[in-house]
Amino acid sequence: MTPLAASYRAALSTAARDALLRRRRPQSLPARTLLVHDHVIGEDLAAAYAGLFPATGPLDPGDLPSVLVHIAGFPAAMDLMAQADFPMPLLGMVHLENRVRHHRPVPAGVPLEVAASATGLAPHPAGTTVDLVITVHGPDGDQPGEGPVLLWEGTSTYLGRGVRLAGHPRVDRRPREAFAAPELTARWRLPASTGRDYAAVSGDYNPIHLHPLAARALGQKGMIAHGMYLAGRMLAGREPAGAGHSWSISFATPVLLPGSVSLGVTHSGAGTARVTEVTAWNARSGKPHFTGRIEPGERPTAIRRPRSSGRPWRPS
Amino acid sequence: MTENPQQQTSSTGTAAIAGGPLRQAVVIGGNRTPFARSHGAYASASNKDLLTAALNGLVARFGLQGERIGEVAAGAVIKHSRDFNLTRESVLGTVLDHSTPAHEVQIACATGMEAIGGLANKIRLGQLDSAIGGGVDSISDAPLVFNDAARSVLMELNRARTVQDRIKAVLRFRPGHLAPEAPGTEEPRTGLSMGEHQARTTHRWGITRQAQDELALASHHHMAAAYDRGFFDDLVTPFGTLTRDNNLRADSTLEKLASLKPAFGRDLGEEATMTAGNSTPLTDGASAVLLGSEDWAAARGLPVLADFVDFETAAVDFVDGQEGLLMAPAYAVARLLQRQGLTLQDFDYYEIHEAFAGTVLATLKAWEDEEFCRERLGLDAPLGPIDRARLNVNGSSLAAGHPFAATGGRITATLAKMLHKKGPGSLGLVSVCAAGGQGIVAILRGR
Repeated sequence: MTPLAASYRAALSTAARDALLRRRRPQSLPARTLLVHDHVIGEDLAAAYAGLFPATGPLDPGDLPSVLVHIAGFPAAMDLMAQADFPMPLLGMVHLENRVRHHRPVPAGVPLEVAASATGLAPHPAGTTVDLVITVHGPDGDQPGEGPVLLWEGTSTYLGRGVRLAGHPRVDRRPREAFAAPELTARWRLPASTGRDYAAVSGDYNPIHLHPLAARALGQKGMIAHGMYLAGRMLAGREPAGAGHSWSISFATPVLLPGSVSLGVTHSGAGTARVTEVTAWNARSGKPHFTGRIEPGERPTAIRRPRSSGRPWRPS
Repeated sequence: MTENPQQQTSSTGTAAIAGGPLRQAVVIGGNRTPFARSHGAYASASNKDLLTAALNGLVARFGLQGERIGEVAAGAVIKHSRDFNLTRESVLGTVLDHSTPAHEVQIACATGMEAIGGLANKIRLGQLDSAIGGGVDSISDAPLVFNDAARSVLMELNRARTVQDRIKAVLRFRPGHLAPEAPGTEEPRTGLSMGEHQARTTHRWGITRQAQDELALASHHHMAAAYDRGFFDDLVTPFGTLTRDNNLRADSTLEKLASLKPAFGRDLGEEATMTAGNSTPLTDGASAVLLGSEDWAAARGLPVLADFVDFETAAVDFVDGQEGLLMAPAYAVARLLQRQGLTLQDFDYYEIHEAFAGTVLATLKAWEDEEFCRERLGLDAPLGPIDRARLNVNGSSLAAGHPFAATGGRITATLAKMLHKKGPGSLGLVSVCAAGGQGIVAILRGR
């Protein structure tokens, strides 16, 4: 698989070339699906991932956490986005949302087939959004002729700010809904090293997570936490054993590092029907950071939100 | 045949564990150091110093010099890893026979209760004839540790066998590695301190600032009065410069308490009610309680204050706010009452550990709440109200302070003495909440 650093380098050089040659980026998505065969998530990586969330203890190598599976597939998606035929520049893209259906347990040490494709180019008040879809298949199923079993599929929505595509109507900005914080149930104190620690495990060395100066140079107010770190921490200790669940996370404002995140977690339903909803916000500014939801089964309606509906976030 | 001094001397025949009848475990007495606000009077005393002092005071009070006690169990919530045998080391520092075995116990703030309850069970089973249970804590003696990053480098350096490996390990050192980590009072899974957790519970149960301040004031006044009439004379041995708990404010008033700013739950704004006045401060101190079989006490002419009847541990799922962090005793009491066939109103005294005034008041309110008792405790009817005149009548942790593991010993000895005065058959209920959403409750019966 193409390492993430190579994707960032490719994206940088494409951006530089585009600026020099005044090349216009293509107006449509590449139709390719990028396939990676025999990708193995090692137990060392799993242990390193578990080390990011020490309070929740070791993980089951036979049933890896969802975000670790995402980490395995992310370089393929990045490779797609970093190429010159991708309609928007990788650097500066804003991560808006993730929706994952975790069908079956994903084990460590087993060859997986990872597929990444881009879809759903859509207008957004601040630019254009795109969905990167990653699927992870395991070895062939038990039934004769069953073929590789779909274990995990995830969709990440990114915003290319200021990217306007021909033929797309302008979308008006919706009025921001007033944010009312729920009851506080937890507080995460995130040290300055949070981004570097997650980068060391995920390989995602995007400079906005590594150093405040680099982050400011790239248009952020400061060094910020990886969205998927926040998702991973939200899920730590809350994913059902044996998979068969869905979860989603919508990002509102970035989490500056070092920093403190206030959380309100609520559960409804009991046992296997339990739905967990998470709201994270900044206690000082009163602004929301993200909302998330973990639920049993595969509820496509909850995973794929209609584009036209209002979202609780607004890109910063 | 020579007499084996280590042999159990049970005069009642077959022990319960070997098929005989259960016997009573009795509370003979207790001793503690005065409790001191942290980083004050006991700033230079270690956990071992304090526990040894509490044990030696107990030994002196009951003439146990040179005696082999069946077992000593105690613990500290916050202790250095070198103190892995804190209790045994403390025993070796006393004038007890050095063949007295000892072990560590730890269940956060309920450590003392677990130590005492476990020993009482062994006595009832006939495994022990005598025991000492207690606990100690000193925030002033809290260990500082290297952070995980530095620890990783140091361990690698330790494992390195070649000069090259050693250099490689040393090169990983960063200035940030020098910042030590102190143990916090935060719950690892939520990142919220105990006070922040209790602030949610207090708010959820609608406990007012005034009710909390009144409870705190009563605690100070009751304890000051108890000291003044000499109630603690045979429960506390002076240590260092202290003869009384130095958190005690005999002259506190509601006006003074009302003037304090909220210390916890400040994000609740106007609705924040928990202050430094109605919350316990971090405290240093140690306690010890002497337990025995009736025969053992009688053979030595020792007093018998109370029977240790039963105890129960509960835990609640607090991680995502499903239940308040310190609400476990509410559940434990329901189970203990059911097992013993008692009602909440059957008790002469209630000793509800005042981690925060809000904890006591939320627990009392929960027991009166029809929905809580039905939905959460699975009861047909609420446990109901208690006679508040019987609650913490000689003060509790808001006045004395709360050296985590020492609180169980303080409460058990105090309650046993009260029940003995009240008379045979009188009943007392103990309730102690603990970190991790746990709690231990116990029943004592006066002799």
